[in-house]
Amino acid sequence: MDFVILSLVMMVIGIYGLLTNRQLIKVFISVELIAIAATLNFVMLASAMGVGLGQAFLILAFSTDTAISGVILALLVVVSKKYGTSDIGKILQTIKDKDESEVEA
Amino acid sequence: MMIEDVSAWLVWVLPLIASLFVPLIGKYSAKARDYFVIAIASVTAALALSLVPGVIFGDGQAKIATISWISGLDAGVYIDPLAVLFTSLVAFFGLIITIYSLGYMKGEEGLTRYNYLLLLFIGSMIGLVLSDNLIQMFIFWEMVGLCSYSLISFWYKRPESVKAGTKVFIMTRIGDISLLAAIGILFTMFGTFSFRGIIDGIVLGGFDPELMVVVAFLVLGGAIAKSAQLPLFTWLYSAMEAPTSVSALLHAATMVKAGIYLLARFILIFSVAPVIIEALHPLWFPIVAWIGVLTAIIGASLALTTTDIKGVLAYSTISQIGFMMAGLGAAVEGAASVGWFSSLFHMISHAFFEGLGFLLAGGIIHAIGTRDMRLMGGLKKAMPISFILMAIMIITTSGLPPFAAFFSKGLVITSVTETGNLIQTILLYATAAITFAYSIRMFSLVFMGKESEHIQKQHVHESSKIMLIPAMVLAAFCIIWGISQPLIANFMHFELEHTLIGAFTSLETPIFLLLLLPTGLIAYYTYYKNNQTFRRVAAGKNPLTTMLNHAFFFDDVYNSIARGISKFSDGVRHFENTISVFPLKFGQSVVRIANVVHLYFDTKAYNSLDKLINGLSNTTLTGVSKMRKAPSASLRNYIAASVVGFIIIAVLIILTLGV
Repeated sequence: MDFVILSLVMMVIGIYGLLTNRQLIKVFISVELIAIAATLNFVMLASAMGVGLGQAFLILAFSTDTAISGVILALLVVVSKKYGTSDIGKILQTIKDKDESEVEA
Repeated sequence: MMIEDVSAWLVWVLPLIASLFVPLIGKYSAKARDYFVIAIASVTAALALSLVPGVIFGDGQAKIATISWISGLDAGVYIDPLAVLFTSLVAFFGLIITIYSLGYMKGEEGLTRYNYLLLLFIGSMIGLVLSDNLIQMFIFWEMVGLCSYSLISFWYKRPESVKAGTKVFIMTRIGDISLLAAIGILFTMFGTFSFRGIIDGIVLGGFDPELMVVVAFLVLGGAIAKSAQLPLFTWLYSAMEAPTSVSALLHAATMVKAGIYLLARFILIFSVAPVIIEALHPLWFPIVAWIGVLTAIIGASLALTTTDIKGVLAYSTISQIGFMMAGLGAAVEGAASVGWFSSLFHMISHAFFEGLGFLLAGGIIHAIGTRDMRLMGGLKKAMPISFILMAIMIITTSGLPPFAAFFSKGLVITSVTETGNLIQTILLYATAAITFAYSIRMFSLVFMGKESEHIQKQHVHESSKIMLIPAMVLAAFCIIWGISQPLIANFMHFELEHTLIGAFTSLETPIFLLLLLPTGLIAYYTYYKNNQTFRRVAAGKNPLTTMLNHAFFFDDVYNSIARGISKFSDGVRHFENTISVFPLKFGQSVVRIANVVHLYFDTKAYNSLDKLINGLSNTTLTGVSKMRKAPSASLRNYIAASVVGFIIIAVLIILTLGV
C-alpha cells in the first residue's frame, strides 16, 4: 500500500511538473517521473499477486523507456538548437509568428 | 486445418516483418521497393482468402492457436467468422491501396517511409482483428493509432498536416484509456486476458452483471474515439490532410473500422450469457443506438455544407458509421439479432463505396491540384471514366436499388424499426434523405455545369490506369455486393430471416425512395440547375448555416477546454512562482534584520559597550598590578582570611545539617 501511495505521489508530482514547467528538459523529467510511477506500480502489484507477468513487463517497460528517453533527448537537443531556446512558450510564439508572416506573405 | 493455422499467423506476421525490409530495399532501388510492397500485399490478401473456406465449411465456432509469449500470457490467433470477415476486408483493401498509391504518390518524397507505414498499418489492423487476447489486441490497437498518426502527418513540412496528426493522436487517446480500463476490470474479474478464457468465465458464472455494464460502457468509449462518433468525431475531418490513398485505407478498412470490430466482438462475447444482455438493455443498447443515429444525422448535415471534396467524404463516413452504430445498438438480442449482422454488412458495403469515393477524389485532386469544390465544375468532359465511376459511387452511397448500400442500409433501418423506436427510425430515414442530397451536391459541383476558370487554366486529364483499375474493381463490388447478402449471412453462420426479394417487396422501400425525392430535388435545383434563390439561402447567414459552418461548435468547445487547461496550468505556474518567492523573501528579510542589528551594534552600541568592557578590563588590570605590588609575605592576612572562611563554612554546615 505504501508503494501505491508513493507511486501516486510521484505521478501527481509529475503531472504538476507537466502543468507548470515550460522548460523542455523539466517537462521531460516530469514525463519520466510519471513513467517511473507506473512502472513502480507494475512491479509492486505483481509482487503482491505473486505472478511473474508484472516483472516480465517491467523489463519490457524499462528497455522501451530507455529507448524512448534517448529519442526524446535527441529531439530536445535538435529543437533547442533550432530555436535557440528550450522554453516551450517562446518556441510556440516563434512558430506562430512564422505562420502569420507566411500567411501575410 | 494445419494450413489454416499457419496462414492465420502469417497473414499478420508477414506484413509486419516485411515492413522492416522496406527501408533496406528502398535504399537499393525505388522500383524494387514498390514491387516488394505490392507482392507482400498480394500474398497477404491470398493468405486472408485461404482462411475463408475454413470458416464457410466450419461450424461457426472460434478456432484458437496459441504459443507461449510471456509467463501467464499466450499470444495467439482467434479465428472465427467475424475475425476472418475483417481480415479479408483489410487484406483486400491493403492490396487495392498499395496498387493505387503507385499512381497517386508517384514522385513524392519519403515514399520509403510511406510504404513502410502502409505495410505496418495493414499488418497491425489484421493483427488486431485476429488477436486472441486483450493485451495483444490493445497493442495492435495502439499500433493502428500510431500508424494513422504518422500517415496523416505524412507531409510533415505542412503545419496543417502536423496539427491534424496531433489532433487525431490526442482525441483517439481518450478512447484508448477507456478501453484499457475495461481490460483491467475484465482481468480482475476473470483472471485472464484471452477471449476464450473470458467466455469460459462468463459461462461458469461468478461475475457481476452490473460491473459488466461498466465494462461495456468503457468499451463503447474506446469505440467512439476510434470510429469517430459523437462527441469525438471531429478528428476524422481534420484527418483529411493525409494523402488521399491513406484516407481511403483509413476510412474503408483500417482505423475507423476498429471501433466497429471492437463493439461487434464484445457483443459476441456478451451474448454468451443472457444475463449480461439483459443488464445491458436499459441503458447501454439505447445509448449506442442514439449515438449512432445522432452521429449519422449530424455527419450527413455537415457534409451538405463543406466545400472540401474530401470533407464531404469524411462526413459521409462519419454518418455511415453512425448507421453501423445504430445497427449495433439495435442488436438487443446480442449477436443473434439482425442489427448485429446488418451493421457488419453495412460496414463492408461502406468500405466499397467510400473507398471508391476516395480513390476518385484522389484522382480529381491529382488532376487539378485543389480540394476546394468551388473551384471545380464541368469535369465530365475531361474525366469521363471518373464521371461514370462517381455516378456509381453516389448511387450506392444514397442507397438506391439494386446497389450494395440499398440492402445494407435498408437492413440497418429495418433492424432499428424492429426495436420499435420510432424517433430513431425517422431520424435514420431523414439521414438517408440528406445523404442523397449531399451526394447530388458533390456530384453537381464537381462534374456538372460549366468548366470553372481554375480548370480552364490547366490541361486536365483523366487519371492514369493504375489509379482507375482499383477504382473499377471497387465499383464492381459496389454493384454486386448487395446481392451477396445471403452468402455473407451463410459465411457468418447467421440465420437471416430477411431475404433479398423481401427487401424489394416490403413497404419500407417505397417510403424510403419517396423520402429521397424532396431533398434530392432541392439539391438538384440548387447545385445542378444553379437556381439562384436556393443558392442564396444556402450561402446566406442564418442560424442553421452558422451551426453547420462551425460543425456544431464541437471543435470550438474542445478548443476552449484545451485553452482552459493551459490557462489553469499557467495560473498554477504563476501561483507556484509567487509561492516559491516566499522562502527567498523570508531569507532576504532575515539577512536584512541581521544587517540592521549588526549595523546597530557596529555604530551605536559599539562605543558604549566598548567603553564598558575596556573600563572593566582596565580596572581589573590596575587591580591586578596593585595586588602584585602588595607585600608578598603578609601571612597573617592569609591565615585570618582562612579562619573567617572556615567559620562561615562551619556555621553553614551546622545550620543546614543541624549537627
